[in-house]
Amino acid sequence: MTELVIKYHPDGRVEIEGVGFVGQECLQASLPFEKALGMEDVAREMKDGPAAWQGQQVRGRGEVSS
Amino acid sequence: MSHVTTTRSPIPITDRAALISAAKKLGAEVLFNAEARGWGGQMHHGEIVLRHKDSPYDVALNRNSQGHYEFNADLFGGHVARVYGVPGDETELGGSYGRLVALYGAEVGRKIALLRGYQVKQAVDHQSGVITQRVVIGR
Repeated sequence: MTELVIKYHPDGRVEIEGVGFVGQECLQASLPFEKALGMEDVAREMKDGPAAWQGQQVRGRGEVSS
Repeated sequence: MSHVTTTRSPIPITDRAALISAAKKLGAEVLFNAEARGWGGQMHHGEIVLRHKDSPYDVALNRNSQGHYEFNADLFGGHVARVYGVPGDETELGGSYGRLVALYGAEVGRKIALLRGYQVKQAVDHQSGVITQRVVIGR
């Protein structure tokens, strides 16, 4: 089963975790939620992915920094 | 592969319908282009005004230049915080409006999930005020 676990914090922060996805499906699944919620300044932590992705962070949309 | 995406700053409140829905779920009466009541009979205008039976003061919401709704209320006496905030939350936003802010986000998320035909389960941690949604994408 694939699912998104979304946590809405009282201070306005939102956390989205993809569970059970393969490849980039998790990102595709979460993007509509991120867009609707206005999540622009975000940090992404990849799990179980290529080593090159570990610890990388994404600022804004599409700009990747390590 | 899975991932976790976390906002570094509060999400902007832009979805009027979700905001209204969240406020009603907290028991607020929603007024439009109205005057919000403050201490000593002071009034301030709001495009949206939230009135609640448990607070003598109202919350006014107006959009800033970016189109984001901003809160304006008389926080004197903690009446507004007791209705809309999370006790013990030390952030300004969370302490005064945290329940409303979290519920707003959850309403937006629920709307997107249902539009896409996903099943949603929701739980609230009443101590922390955190709302958790599990959105089933596929089986």
